[in-house]
Amino acid sequence: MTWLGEAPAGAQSIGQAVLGAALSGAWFSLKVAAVLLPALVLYDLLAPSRTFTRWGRVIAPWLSRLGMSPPCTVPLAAGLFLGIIYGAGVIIPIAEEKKIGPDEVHSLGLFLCTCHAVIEDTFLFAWIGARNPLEIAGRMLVLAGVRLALAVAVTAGRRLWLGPAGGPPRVAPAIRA
Amino acid sequence: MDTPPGAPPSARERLRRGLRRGRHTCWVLFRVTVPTFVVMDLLGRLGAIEAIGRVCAPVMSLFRLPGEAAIVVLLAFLVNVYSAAAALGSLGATVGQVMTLGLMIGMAHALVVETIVLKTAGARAGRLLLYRLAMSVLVGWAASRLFIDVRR
Repeated sequence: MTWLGEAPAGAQSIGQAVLGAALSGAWFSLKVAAVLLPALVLYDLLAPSRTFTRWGRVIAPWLSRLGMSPPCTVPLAAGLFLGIIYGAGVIIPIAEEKKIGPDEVHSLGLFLCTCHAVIEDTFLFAWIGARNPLEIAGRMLVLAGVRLALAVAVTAGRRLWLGPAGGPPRVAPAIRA
Repeated sequence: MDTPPGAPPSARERLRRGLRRGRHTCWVLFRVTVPTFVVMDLLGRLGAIEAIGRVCAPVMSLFRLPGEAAIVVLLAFLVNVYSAAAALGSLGATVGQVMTLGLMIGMAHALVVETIVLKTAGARAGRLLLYRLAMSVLVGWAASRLFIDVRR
């Protein structure tokens, strides 16, 4: 097994080597940005729309099986599509305002740390060495699908493990000042 | 990030916010990728990547990956997905290797920053960290059996 290397061969000096590597790095990030930027903008355009809110209502019964109530949909969607770091702007305020209980935060945390940033994280890897957009899409579906399936399984499993009531809150609520 | 009041923001405001976030993401991507490519290139010329690969080969063979892949995994765990993807891009890889690494890294990445965010949000961050690392190993092992066939 060897890497199908694509290192710029035949550079004469260190300067040339650095320039060559920097250029291929810039080209790499340009190609990624060309897809990532429109996808992220599209998310922000669509997120507050009525269709999205309707989906939120549709998935509510399933969410409760995972130990999450309707207020969780907002941070869940933000984490799922934007990631934990970008979603933090949405996740942390909602957790701090106590709109969702500590047990729900644990469910949400477990779900999101298994599956988040499904656009970005999957695309960054899916396109490496892919020959056409269809191949990229297929790989993204596999990468995201596995994570989503695991997230649902693990969060539902935790819920079952703790019992229907969600279990006693093992950590004293509101530790933060 | 501004917090919108009750009413949903206008389309223009949404577009502006999306562009701002997208621009920031692309800037991070660029800022991380270019130095990663340069450092990886220089390390490759110095023979360091080969040396790291030789040292890490026994561990990475668990995932049917070459030793050099350890660099990608470590970059993902400690820094972020961008630098890992950039390192993988500069090394080049087969489809099976990309899928295995993609799944492993999908489970656990940017552990320092993301653990801090989860902790701030009130989740049990320490446990989640262990869970993610275990998941990463498990998923990586399973994916390698699925996607990488050994031809020896």
